[in-house]
Amino acid sequence: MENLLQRLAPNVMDKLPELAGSCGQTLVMLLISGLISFVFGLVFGVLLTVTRRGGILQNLPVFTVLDKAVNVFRSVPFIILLFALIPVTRAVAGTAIGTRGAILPLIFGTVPFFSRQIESALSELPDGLIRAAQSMGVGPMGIITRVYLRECIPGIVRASTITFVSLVGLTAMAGAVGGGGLGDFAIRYGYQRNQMDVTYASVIILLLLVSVIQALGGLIIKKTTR
Amino acid sequence: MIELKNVSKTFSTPSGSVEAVRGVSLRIQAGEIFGIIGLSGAGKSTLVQCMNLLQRPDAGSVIVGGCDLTAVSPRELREKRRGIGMIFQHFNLMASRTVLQNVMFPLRGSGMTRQQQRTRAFELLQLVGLPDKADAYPSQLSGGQKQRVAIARALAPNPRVLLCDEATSALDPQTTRSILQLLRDLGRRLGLTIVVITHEMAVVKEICGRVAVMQSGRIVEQGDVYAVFSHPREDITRELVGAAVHLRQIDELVHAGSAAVTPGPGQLLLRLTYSADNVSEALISTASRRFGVDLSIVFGSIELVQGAPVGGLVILAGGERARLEQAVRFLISKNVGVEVVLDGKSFAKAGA
Ligand SMILES: Nc1ncnc2c1ncn2[C@@H]1O[C@H](COP(=O)(O)OP(=O)(O)OP(=O)(O)O)[C@@H](O)[C@H]1O
Ligand SMILES: [Mg+2]
Repeated sequence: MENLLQRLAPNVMDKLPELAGSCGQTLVMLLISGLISFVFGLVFGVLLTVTRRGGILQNLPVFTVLDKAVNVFRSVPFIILLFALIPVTRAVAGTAIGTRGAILPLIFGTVPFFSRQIESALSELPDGLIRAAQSMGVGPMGIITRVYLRECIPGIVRASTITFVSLVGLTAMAGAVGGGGLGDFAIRYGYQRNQMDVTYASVIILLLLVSVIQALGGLIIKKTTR
Repeated sequence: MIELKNVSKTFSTPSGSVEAVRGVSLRIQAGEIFGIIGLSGAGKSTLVQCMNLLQRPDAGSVIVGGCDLTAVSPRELREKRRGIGMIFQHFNLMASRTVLQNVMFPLRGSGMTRQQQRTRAFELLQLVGLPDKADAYPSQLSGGQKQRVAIARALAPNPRVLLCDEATSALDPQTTRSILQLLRDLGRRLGLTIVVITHEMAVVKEICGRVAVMQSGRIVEQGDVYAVFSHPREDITRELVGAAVHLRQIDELVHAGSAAVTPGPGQLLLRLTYSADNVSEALISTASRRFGVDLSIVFGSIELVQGAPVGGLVILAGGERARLEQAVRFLISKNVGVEVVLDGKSFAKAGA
């Protein structure tokens, strides 16, 4: 086994500890930016839903600002966002490089996309359920937590899975600005030193990661769909 | 119990504004079952949603249980809504919750402990006849069962009023009956004031004491169900009274020249409309015997409204002209509406 791997992927076997470290960095980026993006995306998605015309907390100024902001950030390619945000990142995180420096751009790249996904998941809720809840004297907060978020769990999980998978792609790209992680690993050895086995190993690990996320998401959706 | 004073509601849409409710005034007494009937788009749903302010009227006031809902704060309004249950055409149950959790839904924040809420929800499921479905999910229920759960949920906070917006329109006739029976029983047992919105006369006939007929945002006619349906004053009411609708079909047959409705020489095609307490068959045979004329029924549609017949017959009448006229006069004297649809004499002439 050991021999086979040594033959197939000599460059990878050379730097196993570094590979493990890169995996760890990728996971850290994913977890931290994923968690923060999840919270913000959920909040913005809910806000987009309830403040729109006809929403339970209709507020067109808030809606319009949020809607436009989401569109603007979604239309900027991530690779450009990475550079454009350097001053902000420096101010917030103290550094614009490394794993730490990658998190803020990752959040900015993910939240708008996720907000839209959440908005569309929540829009699946039949109007009648909101009317029913209102007729029972449930207030706006109750409707958000007990109706929207509760009834749309499968849609929210689906949105989270899709977003998380695209976040994996973004973390790899963050490697381009020295963000560390598997992307960085693959670029430094696989691309710059032409060690193809490093590239393939990175691809396989990312593929595994994506598969696990999708399987997990699918499982939760199946469990929560009635 | 419910009083609407000059309630109006206009929706503005990109394609212009729609006056869904125009200056409606209504009084609904405590403990009665009040029907509001009208065709699709008449504004029934909008009107009933004004009763718990799911739609806020542009003008007028909505007084429920002595409280003007248009004047209270949002918080108070939510409190008041707990006293006004509502059920819907599409049930609107929460798919992610079990039947029991659905019924418990409106009890959150009512000061009951979780255990008390469960007990109360169970009681209600018993009341609607579904105690064994407590742990099922709505997707596992039939339409009728879903509506029973919705009724249990609406009644959980112990409201004084129950608003039903097309509550049986998605159900088959048999299930419709059982749900209506349940509503009537519950209404009686709990002393509820029930407002029933529908486009079907059968529903009103089955459970309502009084009815209002709605057309283009207005109440055009109201009163006791029997009075309104037996002596409809408005075309729309006549149209809604199923019997009238069927009797009008004759016009189409006549128009198409169908043999079944073509009177022979000297015969008359008559449309008889019954209202109050004249009993159909006896009158026909009496007239036939007394005046020596042949009266044969071509088509009949009699509905029982609160036990009394409403509707009419289409008959072919043959015999001597003078006797026929006597027979017609006799029927008119018995309060039967008589209308000559086709006269065989003129018909024969015209045809010749
Ligand atoms: N939220 C809304 N926005 C704009 N127009 C509306 C809205 N709700 C209802 N309307 C319009 O108001 C009118 C009355 O609608 P409403 O739903 O009250 O009728 P209805 O009698 O309940 O009809 P149906 O039997 O089809 O339910 C219709 O022309 C409808 O298009
Ligand atoms: Mg309606």
